[in-house]
Amino acid sequence: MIEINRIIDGHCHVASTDFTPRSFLEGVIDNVVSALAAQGLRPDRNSLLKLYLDKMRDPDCDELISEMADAGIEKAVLLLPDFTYALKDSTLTISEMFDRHQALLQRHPDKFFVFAGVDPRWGIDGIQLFEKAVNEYGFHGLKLYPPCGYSPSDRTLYPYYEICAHHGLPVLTHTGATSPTLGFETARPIFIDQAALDFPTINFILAHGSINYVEECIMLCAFRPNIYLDISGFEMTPVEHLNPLLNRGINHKIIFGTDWPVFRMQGPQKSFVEKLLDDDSPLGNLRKYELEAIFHKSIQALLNRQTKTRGE
Amino acid sequence: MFGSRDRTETTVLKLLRETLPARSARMEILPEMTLQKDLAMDSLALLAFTVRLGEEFDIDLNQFADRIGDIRTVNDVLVTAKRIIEQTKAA
Repeated sequence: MIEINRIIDGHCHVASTDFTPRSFLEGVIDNVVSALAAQGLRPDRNSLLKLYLDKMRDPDCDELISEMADAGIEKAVLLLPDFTYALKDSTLTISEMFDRHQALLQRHPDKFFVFAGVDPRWGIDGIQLFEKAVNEYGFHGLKLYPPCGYSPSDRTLYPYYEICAHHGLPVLTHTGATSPTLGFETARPIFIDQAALDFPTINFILAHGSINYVEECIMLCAFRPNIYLDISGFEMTPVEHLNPLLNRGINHKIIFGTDWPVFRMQGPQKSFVEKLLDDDSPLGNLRKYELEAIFHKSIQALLNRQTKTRGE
Repeated sequence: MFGSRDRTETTVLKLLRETLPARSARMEILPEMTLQKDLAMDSLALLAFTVRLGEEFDIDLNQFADRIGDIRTVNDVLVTAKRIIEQTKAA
């Protein structure tokens, strides 16, 4: 087993339908039903939905904390995307979701960092909410979900980026296809490029960069100094699929992440860490400093908030 | 290697084989093999196996899915599936 002394999970969510609308999950289930039907199976849609919903009953993150301990994960980034503008069956307002995430920071001190997002179409209210979360709640970054219907380089996001630039906060953006209830066109990694060019002091993270548009993600990480990627979703493929990513000189830009609770049906967090650290994992070929960068040092560096003083 | 198998174990192994992805479909299945690493089963494959198990033995999907976190090897699958099937029959 590869030895690593410290692990920070750069990509998790709270397992609760309070933050992920039922319509989003139902879209995921429809795709699963299609895939199973292609194998000649006739699964009951409601039974499958119940399976998924049963894995979404950890609103206080107590089970996540327990699984992190078993897996040797010291801390995790909790991501809160805003689906409330695009999917109207959200049960809480985005403001209420921010409050709940603040409460989680208090419930589990020194365990989580929160990256929260607001759909830019909420206008000035959203900007004020994000600023309040940064100043008063201690949130550590901005989370974007472009499949909700906007480009991450849309000018309406620039006030958010100005807040991030002022406080030294990273921005994590989803990439790749998702629930069929949302659009896929804006999920291309390249859409981040103009924002990354316009805000060179902000570090941008491409979520799921090891499984979606991998070549595009590698190109952006290799040539744009302030773009990183996370490998969440690696659970979907054999571990050797990481090989192309690990041999391109961007290992200092790669961030470990699990995407909890998306893969709970597949196994516990410990099994995913073991998959990466197994003796015949391609990560076994990396030098110690590269492993440390992937598992904690790169994300830790991005999490070090440094608010500018006046005149800077 | 497996010892002598009863009818339930034989059926469970048959269902497991039907579920394997292409890269492991022709492998000999051994009890100590792990589902994720050795047999390359992802979450969809595990779900497909769970549905097959439910259809074959008329068991609730949740009964097996709830225990997936404890299942690592083929032997774990056999032990867990047999226990659930016997509990269902006894109920």
